[in-house]
Amino acid sequence: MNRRRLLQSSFGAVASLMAGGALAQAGRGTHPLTAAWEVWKAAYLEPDGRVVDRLQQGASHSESQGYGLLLAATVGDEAAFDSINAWTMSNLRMRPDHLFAWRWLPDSATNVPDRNNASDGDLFYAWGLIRGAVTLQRPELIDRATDIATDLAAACIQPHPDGSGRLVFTPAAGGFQRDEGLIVNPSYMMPLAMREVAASTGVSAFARCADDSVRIITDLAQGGLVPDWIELRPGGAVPAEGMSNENGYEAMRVPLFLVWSGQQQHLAVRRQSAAYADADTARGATPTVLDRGTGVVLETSSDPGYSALAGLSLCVTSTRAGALMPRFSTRQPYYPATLHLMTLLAQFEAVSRCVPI
Amino acid sequence: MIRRWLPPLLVGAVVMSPVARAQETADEPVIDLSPLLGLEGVQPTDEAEDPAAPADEIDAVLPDYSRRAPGDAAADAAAGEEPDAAEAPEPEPQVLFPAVANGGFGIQRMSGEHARMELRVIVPPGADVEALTVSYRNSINVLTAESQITAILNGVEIGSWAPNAFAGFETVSLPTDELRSGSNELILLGDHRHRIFCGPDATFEVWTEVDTAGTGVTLDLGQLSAQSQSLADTLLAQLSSGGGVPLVAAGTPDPALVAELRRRIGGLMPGLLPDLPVESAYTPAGETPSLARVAIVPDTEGPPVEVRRTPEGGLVLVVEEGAEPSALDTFLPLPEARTGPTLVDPGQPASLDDLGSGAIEMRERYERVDVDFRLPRDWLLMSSQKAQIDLTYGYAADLPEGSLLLVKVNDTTVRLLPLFGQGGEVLPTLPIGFPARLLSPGMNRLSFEAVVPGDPPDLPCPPVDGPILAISGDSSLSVPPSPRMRRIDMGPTLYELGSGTIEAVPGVAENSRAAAVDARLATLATPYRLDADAGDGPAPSLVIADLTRLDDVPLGAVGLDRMRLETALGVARPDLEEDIAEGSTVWSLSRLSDAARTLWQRIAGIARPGDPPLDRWLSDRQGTALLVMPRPDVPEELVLILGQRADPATVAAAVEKGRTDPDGPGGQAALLNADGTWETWQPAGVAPVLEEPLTIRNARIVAGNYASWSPFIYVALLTVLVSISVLLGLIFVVRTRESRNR
Repeated sequence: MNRRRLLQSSFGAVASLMAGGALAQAGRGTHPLTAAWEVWKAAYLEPDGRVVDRLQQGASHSESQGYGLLLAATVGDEAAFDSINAWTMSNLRMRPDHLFAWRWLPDSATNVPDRNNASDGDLFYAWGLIRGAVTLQRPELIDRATDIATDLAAACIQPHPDGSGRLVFTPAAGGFQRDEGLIVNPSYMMPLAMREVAASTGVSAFARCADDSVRIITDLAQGGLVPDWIELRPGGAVPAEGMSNENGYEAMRVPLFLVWSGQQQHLAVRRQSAAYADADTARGATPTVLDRGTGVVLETSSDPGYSALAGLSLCVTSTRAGALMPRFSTRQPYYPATLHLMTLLAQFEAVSRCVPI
Repeated sequence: MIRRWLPPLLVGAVVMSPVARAQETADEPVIDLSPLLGLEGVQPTDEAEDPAAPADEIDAVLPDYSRRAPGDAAADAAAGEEPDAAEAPEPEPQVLFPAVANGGFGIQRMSGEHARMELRVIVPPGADVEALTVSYRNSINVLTAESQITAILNGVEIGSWAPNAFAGFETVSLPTDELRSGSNELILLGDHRHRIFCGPDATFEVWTEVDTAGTGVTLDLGQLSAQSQSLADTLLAQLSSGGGVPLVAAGTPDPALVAELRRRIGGLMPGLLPDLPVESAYTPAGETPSLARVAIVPDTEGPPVEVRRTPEGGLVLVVEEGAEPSALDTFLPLPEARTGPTLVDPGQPASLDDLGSGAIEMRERYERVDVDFRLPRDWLLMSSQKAQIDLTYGYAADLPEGSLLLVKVNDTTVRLLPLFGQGGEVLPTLPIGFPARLLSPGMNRLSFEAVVPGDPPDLPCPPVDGPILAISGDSSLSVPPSPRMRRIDMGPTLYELGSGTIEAVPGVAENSRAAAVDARLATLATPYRLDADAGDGPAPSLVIADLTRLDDVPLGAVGLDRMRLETALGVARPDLEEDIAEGSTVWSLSRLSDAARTLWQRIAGIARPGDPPLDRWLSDRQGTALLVMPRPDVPEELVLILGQRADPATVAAAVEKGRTDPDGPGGQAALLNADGTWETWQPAGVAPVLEEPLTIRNARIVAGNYASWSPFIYVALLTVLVSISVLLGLIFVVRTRESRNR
């Protein structure tokens, strides 16, 4: 099978994969999240296509560009899609492979001081291209997604140090290797994105990696809440030295991505939901950092995006309909706002029962 | 080799980088990133000579982010320690529970020298009230030094203040001691003095406005419980804030369920047509979070209806799509039927007490009191019968010359009484006769209008204790009985509408005017209590359509021309106007034909009184909506057609008001003007219908009604009868003469 035929068949495959969600919606007309997207776009997307995280020195990241591209593709905003794509290609495409430098700093002498990548940014970017290929009727985007997926798999999929043969999605092309194991960020493992990328590009390692990621997160959840970072060693997982072992701003995405991927009853989701339910915090304050072992709340935030995350987790693990998710708002920083939008999208695509109330 | 270039690069990145320096010198979010090396296939940017160096030989730091927002109090306090955020809970946000005005929500006005406003202040069960506030402003004509606003809570005066909010709304705090759980009656008495003038005009110029959205009790949001009463109270407060109650759903909810919810929520404020829009569950947040809302969710095995707290702290009624209407009863019981204006029994005097107004006291220099009542739908007197008002009244001594009391029936003055010369005592009962034909079947209005000039008019009014005019509750209205007769009249159907169905024409767009009016009118489905004379036939129905859906409503029997209708409802027709303009300059056969037609129509108009055909009637009118009874033989079916300029809220309010307004829609069609008034079209040629046997007893009145309806036909009929009589007489005379001659 030549490359073009492979791409065409992949395009059809991913279209059918996504038929129950965003694509079907896009085909019917306005996506229900269009209004929220427009608000998000006005707050965080520059006209030139740069997604700005003002809290982090106004930086842009391959992650935020990937999130933006995915959201634009999902709601069918071709202009935003193209601008994000153009800016990213011009400013983060600094490597000889098809991956992106992970960060762009506006006020730095060198805008891209580091050419390492961030694997979740690349993964979401490829996923965004694939969605855009379908929603915007531009199959040629699959070519670029395939290039990224191929290089991403080569650089960031490693065998598990325990010799089980499982595949590990490492957080970057470099810097994850330790003497005794691999550093991973469980929230970079997005099974649904991996599966759709695999189905669309033919890079089958991502399909395996998706399944193995779910298993690795299951193992981690056996010991409590999923940590922000962990080191996988032949003998098991240990806290990554010098990195957060708490269930914090990174790991809060794990239940979101699992729910989005159809893993609503995953142990990690249930543990996170139970921790939210047990947290005795004031109304309007959502736990954002919890002790991994005890579930003690270490930090809270009033940003509604975090509340939406908690609301979705609590709903999917209950039998009730309706999730206590706040209305989308940009009266919060980029990160919780983006998680907020993605939480709504995950609910819309994966758990219709948990409609925001 | 790697170890040779790695240290300088790390130093360069971490120390020399302006970003890194900023991170070290300021307490800003830290992004700890050192350059990473050894990437397979990556070209080095600086001194890196071997970018493909194995990662495991590099002591590198992975991309990392600081996600925590500075300024997050709980987070800041917790940073670096092991605190439990739950130990120092933030206080619950305080919210204002808006008061409910009897006249509506939003900005309410009380005007006159002795103004009064009644409000309901609701305290949810178990809530501790922090404050009771009133948000008000005055007209610039109010003389602060001699004016006062007094607040009476549950019958106890709790405070008063001199009104001086001339620049905008100001807030007054009142003591909360007299508040009790549930509904509290707050009466505001505005004792206004005009700065300069005294008289009827000055009465209108002194006023105080109260903003219900800023008036009410302040309490902790956390004190709201998920009890049914709390939900009703909170919904009422949300409605009173003017923000409406959104019905939130992920997709398109079942219209029947939406109508049911609107009917029940609208029953909390009967007749005020609150905004109850269907909103997407994904709609971004507005400026102010709602105190209460309704969410329609997919079916589960859980309870079909329950109350939960929203993330913002308000209450949400969660209703499953398949919930039976009865499942709503606990939280939103079906509204009770409203009591409409009193139905007067013709032939029996009805006192003001009977009519519900009781004794009337007037204290303003200009004041009008309307007493609405109804007559049976089959009551009809069109000729010379007399009705009578027996008025017992008195007025204050020393009122200036020129003081007047106007007694009106359906806005026609039937007596003008002086209010000077005999003041200070109750006058003997005064019989005031008036033509019964001023009354109509259905809604009627008796009005008393007092006008008292200033004395002198160019100085502030002197303080007056007590009323200027008092009318006894024993004063009565006597309406003569009539045979059971009817004309075409949509009024009764409109009055009974609440017991039937109101819906937009099928297929109408969700964001159309028709859908919006439907949404508003669904809340008026709170019916009026029906009388014994209500029909036993099918329940009344109202179909709402706009000009794009005219094909879906049965209008053929009315004889409506689509183009005329569209023009009357705001569609510009330049071509038509040009044609007319051109035609007017050409003297042609068609013009002669038009003139002949006009002449004939005038002649026919004498014979058949009433309005011209609907097409022609509409041709010189412009309105925003047309209410039609398409088939006179099916009076329970009404159609509302919305024009291009129709504002849904205004149209809905006009329809609701028209249900009990003597000037509301009647006849077979009624056009809503831009100013909110209705013009009724009464078709010519449709005679009143007698609904009882013609007897000797009722023959005279029946004949009088027909004679009044069409004198021409009546005279012609009489002429024919007389001619036949004469002919018969002649025949009799001729025949008897012939036989006598033989």
